[in-house]
Amino acid sequence: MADAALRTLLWLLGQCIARGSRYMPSLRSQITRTMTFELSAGERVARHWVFDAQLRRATTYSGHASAPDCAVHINSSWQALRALVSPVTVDKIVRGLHEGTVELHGSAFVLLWFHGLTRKFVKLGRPDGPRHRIPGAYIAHDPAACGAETIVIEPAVVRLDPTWTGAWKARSTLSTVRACTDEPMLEP
Amino acid sequence: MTTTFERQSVTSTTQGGLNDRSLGWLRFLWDKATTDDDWSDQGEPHQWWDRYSEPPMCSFPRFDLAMVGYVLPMMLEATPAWREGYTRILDEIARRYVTFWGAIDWNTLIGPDPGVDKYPPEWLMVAPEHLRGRYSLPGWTGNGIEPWGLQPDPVGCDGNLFYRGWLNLLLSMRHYVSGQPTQHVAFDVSGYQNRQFSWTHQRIAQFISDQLTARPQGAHCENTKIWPFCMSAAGLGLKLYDSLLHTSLNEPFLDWIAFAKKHYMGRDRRGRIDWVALYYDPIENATMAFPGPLNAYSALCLLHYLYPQDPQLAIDLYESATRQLGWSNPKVPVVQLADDPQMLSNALWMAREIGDTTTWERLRAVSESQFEPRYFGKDNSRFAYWLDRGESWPRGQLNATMMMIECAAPGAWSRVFTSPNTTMYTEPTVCDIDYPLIGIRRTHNDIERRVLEIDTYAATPSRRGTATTFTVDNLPDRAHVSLHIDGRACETWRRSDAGAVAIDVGADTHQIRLTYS
Repeated sequence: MADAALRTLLWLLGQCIARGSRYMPSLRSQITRTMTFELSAGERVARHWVFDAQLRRATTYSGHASAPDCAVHINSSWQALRALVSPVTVDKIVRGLHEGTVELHGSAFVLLWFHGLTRKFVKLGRPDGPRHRIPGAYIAHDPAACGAETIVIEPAVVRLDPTWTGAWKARSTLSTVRACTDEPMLEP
Repeated sequence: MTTTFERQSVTSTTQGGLNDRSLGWLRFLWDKATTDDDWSDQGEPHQWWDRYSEPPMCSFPRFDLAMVGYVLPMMLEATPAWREGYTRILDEIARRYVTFWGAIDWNTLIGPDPGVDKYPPEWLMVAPEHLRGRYSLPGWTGNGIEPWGLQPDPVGCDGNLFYRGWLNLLLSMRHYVSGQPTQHVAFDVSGYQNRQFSWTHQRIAQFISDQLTARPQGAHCENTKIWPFCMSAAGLGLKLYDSLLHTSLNEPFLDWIAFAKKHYMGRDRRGRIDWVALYYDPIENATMAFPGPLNAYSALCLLHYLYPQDPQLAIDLYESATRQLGWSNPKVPVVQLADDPQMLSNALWMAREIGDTTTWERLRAVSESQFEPRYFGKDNSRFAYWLDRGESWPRGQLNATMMMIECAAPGAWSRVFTSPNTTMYTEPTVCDIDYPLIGIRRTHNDIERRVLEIDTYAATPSRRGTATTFTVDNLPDRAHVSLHIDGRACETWRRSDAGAVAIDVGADTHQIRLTYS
């Protein structure tokens, strides 16, 4: 029973993400690496997603992937169902990691990223944060906010000065810039 | 290069002096600081400066500069009479901080972030869920964007708090360590297109304080993000400035803490902190908070900065984080959800500070077995945690916090800010020492008995025994002096000034006792 329900849920999530990757800009813009993510439970349920960074598309398949980049295995389908339909999915997965009932191969941040994709279709719970607008926003320059100092402000620009070649060369070595070229990077 | 545990069992204490690990780290710090490299736009920092850790927001060499000096004011507890070596290191760090590379993010990550939909999924996780894939990631400072315009001065700007906040902390530590009140001395900061902007320590501190007064949410770092992490570091710099100069620039930060408790963190029904903002974007009105137990990482990164300023809040954050991660629960294994050793090192430090022995022992076992503590370099005289990653140099940012555990007794970090030892400036002081030929493990001034104790060691073992001379100044004028080295009376000293003596000694392990009356 739990196996069937989980299979159905994963199929549904699979289809949502795969179809959403065709037309949802907010989902396509997050498919930035070609990689495979797998979620499995017990001994009979498994599904994986293949993300294609070139096409910004996802496809999904039943069963195990041959070499997933990130794989989560949950001890039982029942436990997986309870975690996936919970408003505190991440808490339940982490508890499983502590108790040894969940295995994670790969980055926890990729798992969270995938969880974020699923929440575009099934939004259970809400992200932590204040439930009110935070007062006192400083959203435009105010000379009175600088004490005795004066801030030099010049017109807005959209890119680094093209003639400052030394700066361009130095910038190209930064992780922030290199990360956009598919170079493997450390986790946050 | 070998892993060496036998040289180390206890951390540094005031009575026992600096332990071997601390001396080894100091030796490597000296190498890094005094080896010349080019931080201009025509050069590149030596690769041992850490611009790799904690991406995307801290993977700039400035963060190594900012953090690597934390141990130095703490080491003063063991060597209050030897400060010049630490001052030299801090001078070299500060010299680099104000260069092009020191502010490379503000100076070169100009305009809107062109990579919003190109970063790896792991990095996208540090953007608020609903903005991922279309939002500048942390680290992209975005100088030049609307509505802020291009602000060429890395210090004098609406954003970039993480630059001037840590610069102020660094300069405050330099003031404390050296005892030299240089807050009105002007220096240049390198900005956009290499334009130079003149600042003083006093003006920077006052500017930060004025901004905090006028902006209750806190000052921005990147355009446009407010980080409790950076705010807390900026507040800490102001606190030390106040402690040394008897000002009250830190007060608006205390107001900000009250604001942050209300708006940047939440508590569960039992009053325990259950989420903390990693950052807040006032233009998007978006709060970035990691989901579930990963939120603990937003709390852990605050501990060093908040504990000396609001101990109870720091303890609440620590207890929340270690509970969420299971690190304080002896029934479950220590799981590191993020591949980020710095978070564990932060918790380890705090566990020691507050005497949480259960968590301390669990996390210490992890750091000793997984962080690859080992001596290296010529004569194995340098020490660092290497993380078992086969990299060419130890990571500066991780070691900066791990070595805070090694270099002093619990409480030392807070004492730097809450009760700095300013009497040491007028007490007998060791100077003109030929470090790293000879090093200082411990000094102790017994003012009542008028005795200065100095424990030396061969900081360069291959030159052990080489004759050297150092000075002790701040002695009473024409004081009667007697010298004992390793328990034996010695005449290897001479008066070099009315209140100073020069002492000849071999570069080796010695217990020197200078009595004056």
